[in-house]
Amino acid sequence: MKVVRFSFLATLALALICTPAWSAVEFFGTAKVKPSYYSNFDFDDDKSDAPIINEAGQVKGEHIRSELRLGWKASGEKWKVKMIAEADLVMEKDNVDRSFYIGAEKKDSPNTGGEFGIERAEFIYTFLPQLELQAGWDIRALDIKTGGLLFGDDHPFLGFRGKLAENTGYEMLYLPVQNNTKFWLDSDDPSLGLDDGSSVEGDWRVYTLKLNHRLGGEKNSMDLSPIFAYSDNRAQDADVYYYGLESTGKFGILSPSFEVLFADGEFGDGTDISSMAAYAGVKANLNMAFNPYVALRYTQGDDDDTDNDVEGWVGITDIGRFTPLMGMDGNILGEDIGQSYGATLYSYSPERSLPTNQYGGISNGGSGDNPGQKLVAVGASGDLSAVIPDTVYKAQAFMIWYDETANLTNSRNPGEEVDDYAGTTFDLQLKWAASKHFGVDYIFSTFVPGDGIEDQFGDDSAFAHTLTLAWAY
Amino acid sequence: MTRLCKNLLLPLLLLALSGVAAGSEESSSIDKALEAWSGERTVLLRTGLDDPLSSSLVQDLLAELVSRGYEVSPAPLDALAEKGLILDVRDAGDAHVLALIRADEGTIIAYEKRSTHQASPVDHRGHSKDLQPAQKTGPSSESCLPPGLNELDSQPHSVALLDARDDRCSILVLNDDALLLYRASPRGLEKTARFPAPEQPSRALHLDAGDIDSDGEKEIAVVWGKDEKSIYEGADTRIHSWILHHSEGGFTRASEDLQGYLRITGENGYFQRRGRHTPFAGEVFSLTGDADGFTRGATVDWPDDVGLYESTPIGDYRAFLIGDENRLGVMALGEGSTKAFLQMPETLGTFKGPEIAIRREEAEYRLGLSKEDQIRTDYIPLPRPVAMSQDGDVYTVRRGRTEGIPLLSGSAGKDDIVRIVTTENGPDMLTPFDGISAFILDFALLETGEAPSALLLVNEKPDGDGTAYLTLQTSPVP
Repeated sequence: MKVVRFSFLATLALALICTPAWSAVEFFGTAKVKPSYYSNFDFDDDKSDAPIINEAGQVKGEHIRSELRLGWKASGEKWKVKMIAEADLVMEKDNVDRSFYIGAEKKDSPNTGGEFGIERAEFIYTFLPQLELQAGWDIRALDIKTGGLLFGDDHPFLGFRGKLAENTGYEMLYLPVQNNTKFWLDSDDPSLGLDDGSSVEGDWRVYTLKLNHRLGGEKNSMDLSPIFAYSDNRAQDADVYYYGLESTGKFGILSPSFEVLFADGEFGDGTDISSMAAYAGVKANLNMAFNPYVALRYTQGDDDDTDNDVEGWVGITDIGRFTPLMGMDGNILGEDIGQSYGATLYSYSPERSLPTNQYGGISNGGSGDNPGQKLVAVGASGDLSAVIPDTVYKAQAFMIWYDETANLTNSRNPGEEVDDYAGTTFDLQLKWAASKHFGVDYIFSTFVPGDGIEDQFGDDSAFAHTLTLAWAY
Repeated sequence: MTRLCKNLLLPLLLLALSGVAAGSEESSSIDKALEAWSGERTVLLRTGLDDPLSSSLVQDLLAELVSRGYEVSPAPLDALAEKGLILDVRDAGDAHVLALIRADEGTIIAYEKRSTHQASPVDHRGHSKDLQPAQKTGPSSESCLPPGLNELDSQPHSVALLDARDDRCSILVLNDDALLLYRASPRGLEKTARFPAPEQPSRALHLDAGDIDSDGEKEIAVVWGKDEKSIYEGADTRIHSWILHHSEGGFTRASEDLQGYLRITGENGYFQRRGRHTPFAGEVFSLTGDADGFTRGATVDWPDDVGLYESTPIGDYRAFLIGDENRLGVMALGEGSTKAFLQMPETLGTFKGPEIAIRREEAEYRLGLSKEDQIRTDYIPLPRPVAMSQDGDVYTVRRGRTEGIPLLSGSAGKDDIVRIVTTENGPDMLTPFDGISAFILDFALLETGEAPSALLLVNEKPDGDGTAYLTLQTSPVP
């Protein structure tokens, strides 16, 4: 034991000696184990669900998935480097043993989650308070503090940010979302020769600019943020300009927030893209145990998928699941119900309900012919420690309508228009916050179909149960 | 040779070896041997003293042994043990001789010689002052606590002295769930009053006592924090605080919930709020009131951007501040002052008081988007306790004890209370009290003698989650 201890200390001492004296590396991480059960994401008890995408890959029914994060960062006076290694997998022998590593495929599917890779990286250098260089692939967002309608993701980026004045800041980013440079005419047969085509074919680049200005002081304040983004989506042959305004505030016990966004562009064949989205919400901090909120979320729908106007809203990445007021990390609307309602993983809007006229969204799969959404949310959160020690909760209900249903197919009554009430979701999350380093929470979430869903898929409610055992260090 | 012979001969060997120079306490062979010992963690303590607990050396040894997880049994010189360790302590004139012995084999595994000469308080230049050696003077015959460590049955984080007369004193301790009053005497501690925290669950943050309205009765300032947690927004500590009075009937409130930090230094009471996203914010106010009630008064001169517990005014124009690298400095009060203009070279060690959870304005997506991967809360520890004596000297905690490396070593080193005197050449740091092998969480000054004594609240662990003790330290007459 003494020899082992001495060897460890000697190694540690050597490592510390070799570490540059001007920086210290900090390690941190989280580990989550999530027994989960999904049922009836197709709203039909008599049919088996199609594969559902979550962070661990494709799943169905009951499974236990694990999210492991190990991060390290080092910083000096002007610079900062951070990297995160991540492994997300369904807990089964092949995944944890990596036993199908040779070829890295299983039943023609790649092993995308079982290996630790650098999931995120962030590199910062501060030239001046007004000019900070940033690069990497980490969480960046344009409207994650409000409705999450436009963009929030860990796409690669290169850009600048800084403070222009005491209460004014900015961030500008270049996001090479897709850079699928094609070298060979046929990648399976390079002997056919090089591809003489464009180096930007199949690419998707986004350019963003966001300003932020704060009004008010410590007690009452309001942030106003004009937003601009240009989506150069060669992969989908679409050019789209996004612009809008986001705002958050704090006035006594009330915390209002809103955003309004517009999309304006066209496909290469001249098809016009014109849409809008909006969100508004307010939360009241009444007391420790009860803090209610109400919110409205709107994405415009397309009323005719045969005309030359694409009016369905598709953002760069809808990140509704991780927004502060309506978000919940594991509710059914934020999971992948693309097979029915059309909202893919993290997204709250039904952008995957059709496969046509795609111009954005996660994995570039959002359709401009989607029916849109009108959503009314009510909810509450609080700390129940006065009654049950270390217990906190969040509960919410969403009433969801389609904005336009002309492009949807009524399979219950063929030929008739689909009803515009999609359905109601109810989410309840309870967490036992044992300590800073460990917590347990459970989400019960259900999507009760309205006539709109029943007209298309079925009348059985869908459920998502997720238990999370989480360690943080 | 039988084990009995080995054990009886060893004391003779100790005396014979007493001429050998011993290692300094700082590089104690006894400490190293205790740390390395992997056998049964029991110690038979053989001192030959009629009252071993009255010896300061034995007190220190007990604190060290207990903190390392050893079970200690005081025993006569001829006592034996079959397993564990035996610690022999002998008086060798101007020194104590210590020997640590393997009970099963009778072999000495560590040996030390410690001088009995009382270490003179030294100034920050390391020069020994011209003081009376050896025994501590002070109100030892009027000590209001049994000597040594007095174990408590709760885990308080703060202590204050309500009153002290002759050999009795009233000691206040602040727990997470209540304020307790102990009547202390040389025979022991008796719990006599309790004030439950009005907001539950709470965490103890700060406790002070002083006569701020000059009516001859001390006011008691209690500060608790109540953590409000959220699944997605992190935790946030709400401050709840009251001024209390104590009488024969118990505690009574002398203020509404002031919802801010309180502090009493000497006869001055102070108040400051926390910020929405900062631990301290805004101006510092006086506490004003009378027997009918106390409330926030006028603003007072306070260093800019410095929290209530981070600075201690000395006079009208200057304040002590513990700044970078845990070094004490002096700064000017008044407009624009933000930095110490005089800083002492010594560091006081890293001290972390009870934490305040401050909800961040912006989430940091440190590891990702999930709630566990975000940083939503900063946990800010309150600074070390600082007290001012009647003659204007400042006392505070110097953290010399460390927890060690997890799985590899236990706690080591000593904490002590230092005294800062103001001279014409600037601040001077003295060490009037012995170090203690435990973590000092808080202390109060007992000024019934010629020199203040220190009532210490100590704990096995720096966060106060271990066994808590009260102990009284006296110092030589300066």
